[in-house]
Amino acid sequence: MTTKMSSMETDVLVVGGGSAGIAAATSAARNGAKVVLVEAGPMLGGELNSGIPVDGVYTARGDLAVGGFATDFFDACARYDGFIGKVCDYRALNVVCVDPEASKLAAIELVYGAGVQVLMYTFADQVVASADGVVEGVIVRNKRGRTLIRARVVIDATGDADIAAGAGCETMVGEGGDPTLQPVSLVFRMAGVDAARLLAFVAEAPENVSVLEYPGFAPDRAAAIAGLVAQGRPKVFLVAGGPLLDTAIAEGRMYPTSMVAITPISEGRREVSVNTTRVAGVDATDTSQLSRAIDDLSRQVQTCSRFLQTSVPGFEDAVLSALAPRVGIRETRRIVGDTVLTGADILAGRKFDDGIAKGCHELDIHGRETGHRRANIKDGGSYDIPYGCLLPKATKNLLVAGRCLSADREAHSTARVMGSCMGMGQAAGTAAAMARELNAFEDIRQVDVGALRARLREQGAVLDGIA
Amino acid sequence: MPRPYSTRHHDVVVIGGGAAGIAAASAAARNGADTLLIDAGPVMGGELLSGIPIDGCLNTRGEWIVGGFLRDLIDECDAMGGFVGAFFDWRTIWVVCCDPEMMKLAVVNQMRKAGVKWLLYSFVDEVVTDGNRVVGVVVLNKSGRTLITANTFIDCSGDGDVAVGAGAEFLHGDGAGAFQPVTMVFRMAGVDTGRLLKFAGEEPENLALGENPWIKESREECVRALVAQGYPKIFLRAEGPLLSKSIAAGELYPTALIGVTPVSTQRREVALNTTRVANVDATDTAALSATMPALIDQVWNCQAFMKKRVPGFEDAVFAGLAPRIGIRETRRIVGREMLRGDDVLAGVKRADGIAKGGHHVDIHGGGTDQVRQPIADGGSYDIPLGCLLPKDIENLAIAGRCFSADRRAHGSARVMGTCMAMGQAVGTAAALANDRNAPDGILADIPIAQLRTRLLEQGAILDGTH
Ligand SMILES: Cc1cc2nc3c(=O)[nH]c(=O)nc-3n(C[C@H](O)[C@H](O)[C@H](O)COP(=O)(O)OP(=O)(O)OC[C@H]3O[C@@H](n4cnc5c(N)ncnc54)[C@H](O)[C@@H]3O)c2cc1C
Ligand SMILES: Cc1cc2nc3c(=O)[nH]c(=O)nc-3n(C[C@H](O)[C@H](O)[C@H](O)COP(=O)(O)OP(=O)(O)OC[C@H]3O[C@@H](n4cnc5c(N)ncnc54)[C@H](O)[C@@H]3O)c2cc1C
Repeated sequence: MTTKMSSMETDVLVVGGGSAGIAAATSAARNGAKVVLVEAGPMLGGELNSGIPVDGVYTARGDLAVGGFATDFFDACARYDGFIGKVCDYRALNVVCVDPEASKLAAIELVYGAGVQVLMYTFADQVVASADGVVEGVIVRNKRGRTLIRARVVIDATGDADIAAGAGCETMVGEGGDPTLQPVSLVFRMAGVDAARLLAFVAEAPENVSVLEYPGFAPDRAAAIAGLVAQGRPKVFLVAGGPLLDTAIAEGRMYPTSMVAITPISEGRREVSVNTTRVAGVDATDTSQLSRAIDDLSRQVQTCSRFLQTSVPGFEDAVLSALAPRVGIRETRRIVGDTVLTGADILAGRKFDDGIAKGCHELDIHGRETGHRRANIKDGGSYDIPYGCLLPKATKNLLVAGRCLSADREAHSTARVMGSCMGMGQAAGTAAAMARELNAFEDIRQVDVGALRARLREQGAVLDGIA
Repeated sequence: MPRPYSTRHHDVVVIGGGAAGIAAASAAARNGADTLLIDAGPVMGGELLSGIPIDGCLNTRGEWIVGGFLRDLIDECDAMGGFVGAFFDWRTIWVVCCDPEMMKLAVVNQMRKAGVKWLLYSFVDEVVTDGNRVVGVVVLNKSGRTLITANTFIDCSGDGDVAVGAGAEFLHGDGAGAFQPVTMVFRMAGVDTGRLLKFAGEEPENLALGENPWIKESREECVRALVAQGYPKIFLRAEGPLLSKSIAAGELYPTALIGVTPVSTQRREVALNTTRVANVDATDTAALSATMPALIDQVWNCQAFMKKRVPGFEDAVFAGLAPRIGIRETRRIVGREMLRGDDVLAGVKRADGIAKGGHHVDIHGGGTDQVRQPIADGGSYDIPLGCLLPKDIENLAIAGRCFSADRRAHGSARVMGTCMAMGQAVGTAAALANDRNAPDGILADIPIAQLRTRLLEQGAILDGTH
């Protein structure tokens, strides 16, 4: 049976509707381009809908490092009663807490509202590229059949660099020949949490909680704990090494994990998200492995929710209230771009002349079981993500944004967070739209980085002026 | 050069992991077949995860008409505190209410216990046929393409994608472009059931009640019983003063109903089934994707309306969207037999029935339009295997929303209790066909008596009810 393939044309094609993709599509459309966004799943927002906080928006010092689209997104969450705002974990981060249910509404409002044509339930299957590095289009598959989407610029926001890999670009996995990846996790939520009791427990048994990995939050541990309690939010990082978790793991009441990270997501529902479950050794681009992971992960969810109810004050009357829409993926392929951001760059808080977004999350590499490498950015500040990290080598009109940026494994572990993904997405979308204005669609590198930076600043992005 | 296809083989392959597909896969695996369940999405459960109640498990009289897999699934939810109960809506049906979040876990647990293998994020892209047999399906996912061969295939894709790919004839909506609306179900938490039921008792003209002539009670008696039941299972109707005035004033979009269903007692949480965009062909992905902004506008409109106008919701909060847009109606495959609306309404029983339905004929239209016709005598009807076998394809079965029926019969049998009964029947049939005594695996050759016996042994309910 031969089936016919339909086709459509657009200025900019964005593949992947996670934090990077929604920022890219919205920014490109707002800057005048005709945009199609293709997303394999039934919702926009990607990991934004899992319940984890948005990291990388504020530096540890407290400065705003990502504005623009991210600010619009938070404002939209607030319109849907789903914005808690900046919360300090007194460990290493200032995070932004939103309700993942409101974030779904916010993403839809912003993307559709900008005039983007969205194709949900649509999988990018094949890339059509010429020998000289021009991506002419992408063939997508959905229930209607196959469609060739011809685009002047393509933005790969798939998290897995599917388009770059499909176009034959060089990609990296793991480091130094070791393909080990960070674990996959299933985030879950619990409602009816008594935040005051939880914080009282933190004050009584602070040895269970990690604080002050970044020394700037307080003069000493006691002061940090006092600050965390005074803040009044259930933002608590129960850490492996503390007696509570260690004993539970030893007794088999908990699976081995580096943390049970609790984050407020809704005051009205007294609800938190819990980031803790983990299965290591999964290559999430191998779909059979990824499919199987939900088996162990769903058991861990049941184990941990029982552990919280029975062993953590404040959770006595709490109930499991939701699972994330899908298994969360931290790490797969990264592209090799014009510039490769390095661990040394991020730890030193390095600034670049061609910075188009900022990162400020800690180095954060989850390992197997209790393994977890964390390190601070210099002075609790920020680093720049250069434009070259979004440009796959040997391509002309392809950009990436989000988790698949060009970085070594250490730099990736910080720049992968959602605040940074939105910053990169805004930059990629804006660059694509500027290529249209210049009539330079064939070569995205003709966009002057100075002009791009100026446009991004006009549109609220934070590119300089902070540590 | 694109990557080569990988391959794998199973006895039985089930496409689609909704209510029908999980029941089919579980039954096939429990009856000894090496079974693979494939779904395009990231989780299993389909519409079971949206928060709507499971309809069609009991007839209007309150007799259970579906057992087997459905029972096991309810028990699994119950063990985790995720079963709220079975309730009569005092309008026309009994509903089974579960927490959709516990359901996600319960489904994984049930699939694991049955020994089902599963492959998620995988879209059936092509169907490979040889004469009147399906040889394989090609699935597409991030790992590339895989040719999956099997002795028997079961299409539970809701849309009949595999059957259509194999060349089966199908019907589409009303045949003239009308489809039941697509809907975004949503949830609200912190609902005060006492206040809500007090309001229901005081202003019963807002509720749909006693629509089934089998219900002999007066409206007053119905509302008293509904209030006494003590759960937030109510159906605000378009004709009632509250909705009709609000719709006329533009405070609420036009809708036939706001169906309120309990999903969690502890979270005091309900699901709301009300938003709608009609006459969208949901197999047209661009059209389906384009409904999203209208649906979420309605969601936000309705939650504000509930807080403002419906007692019991004053302090309630928005608690979540269903995982995806809900689809009521797309294609119906033409089978060896076709279930008829007249038979459904008359509650016709058959000696060769392999599943039962009992939901009223329930066809939503645009705006405030909805057809609701009760089954005679508060009873049930039987579904024969022929409605689950596409004409002229010998090793493919269909179950769930895409089975063979006219539009009215589909309007009844599409509900999830009935989907699970159909799924269990074809999953069991596939395992029987796979047994050594039926080497060619021709599904239509399975002795119906043997299938019925096996289903009854495994808890299915096939007779003995109205
Ligand atoms: C368990 C976990 C906890 C985390 N904790 C935090 C945290 O607390 N704070 C934080 O900020 N970050 C956190 N992160 C990291 C962060 O969530 C991700 O790195 C980030 O969301 C990635 O965004 P993205 O837009 O690049 O990709 P995604 O959000 O993964 O979006 C990619 C989208 O592309 C779609 N897609 C993929 N391939 C295709 C294709 N071929 N065709 C069509 N569509 C496709 C996918 O369906 C998906 O929706 C965490 C990650 C995990 C897994
Ligand atoms: C808004 C709404 C309210 C409803 N209210 C009720 C109610 O209160 N009670 C009730 O019992 N019923 C109700 N129904 C009807 C009922 O939910 C559905 O008819 C029923 O769930 C269908 O089950 P299914 O297993 O056939 O399909 P689905 O649950 O739709 O599952 C089909 C699965 O197949 C997968 N799939 C589809 N195509 C492919 C492919 N090509 N490749 C791989 N996978 C594929 C999909 O991802 C999906 O998971 C309602 C329906 C809607 C939309």
